[in-house]
Amino acid sequence: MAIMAGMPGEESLTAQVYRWAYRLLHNHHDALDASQEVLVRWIEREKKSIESPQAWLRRTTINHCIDRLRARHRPRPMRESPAGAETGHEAAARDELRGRITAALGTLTEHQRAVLVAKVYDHETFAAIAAAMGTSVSTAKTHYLRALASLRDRLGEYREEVL
Amino acid sequence: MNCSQMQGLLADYLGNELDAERRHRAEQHLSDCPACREEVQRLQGTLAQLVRLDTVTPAEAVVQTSRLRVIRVRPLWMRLGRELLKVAAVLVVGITAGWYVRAARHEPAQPPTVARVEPAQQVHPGWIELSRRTGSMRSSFVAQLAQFAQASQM
Repeated sequence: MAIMAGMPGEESLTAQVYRWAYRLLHNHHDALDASQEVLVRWIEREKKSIESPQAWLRRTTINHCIDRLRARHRPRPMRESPAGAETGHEAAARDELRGRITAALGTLTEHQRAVLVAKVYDHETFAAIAAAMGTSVSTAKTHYLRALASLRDRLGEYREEVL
Repeated sequence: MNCSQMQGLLADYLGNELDAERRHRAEQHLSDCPACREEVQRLQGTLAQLVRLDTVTPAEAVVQTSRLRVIRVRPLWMRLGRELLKVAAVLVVGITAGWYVRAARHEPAQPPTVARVEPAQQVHPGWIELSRRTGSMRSSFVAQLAQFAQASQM
């Protein structure tokens, strides 16, 4: 499975790695650097020992991003807006809420963010997340609940009219 | 089910990992317990916000990674090949130099070439004076002079 960007049929996996990285790092350049690092490791890796390439890539991306977050020493407020922001009044409100979510995610610990992102966006089981992060299932669940509680407090009530 | 048991199932309930039986029991408790019901609803609202407002869409990811170029690296043995050649060259030079040094040490020494000095022949003192003046002290010349002198005296 070749991962090189630009090759037909392979952009989806490259983009997936980038999405995983961006959801955790919330920085375009950091996410691209992390994606490059993960994909280089994939290319150098002996493929015969990997049962699930996607699981391996996700686990490697999560662990690499956690290391990068730790290197920052502490979560920093994330204010970067993703490319292609929508226009219009409702779109502006959506972008504002998205910015608030981004900022709130930036206040989580790296483990809380990793568990939450894997659970919410990748629909992984707690067992798979725990295995990927090298922790117990109960710890993964604890990270998940604490992350949700923290976001709940920061984001306030669910604004259905905006969504 | 009580509130404590509900808290123990909360992560699995919100993460959709409960089997049908436990999920039914949890929902029965939530219908009977306003506190737990309110907490779950708030957390589910937060989850809904996260799901609906993903911070990076697939289209955005494609745009960003369209400029990503992953260069396929050479195999490890190729990357080390240049270094290995350097080491091999040093070893060859070293071994060759060591062989030559060793060979030179074991070569038998040739005795220095020293001119053979024959005992001086008895010659007339006059011939010795003549040869001294001419600067020629070659032993063969002196021997020839001695033979000539003896032959003359006979």
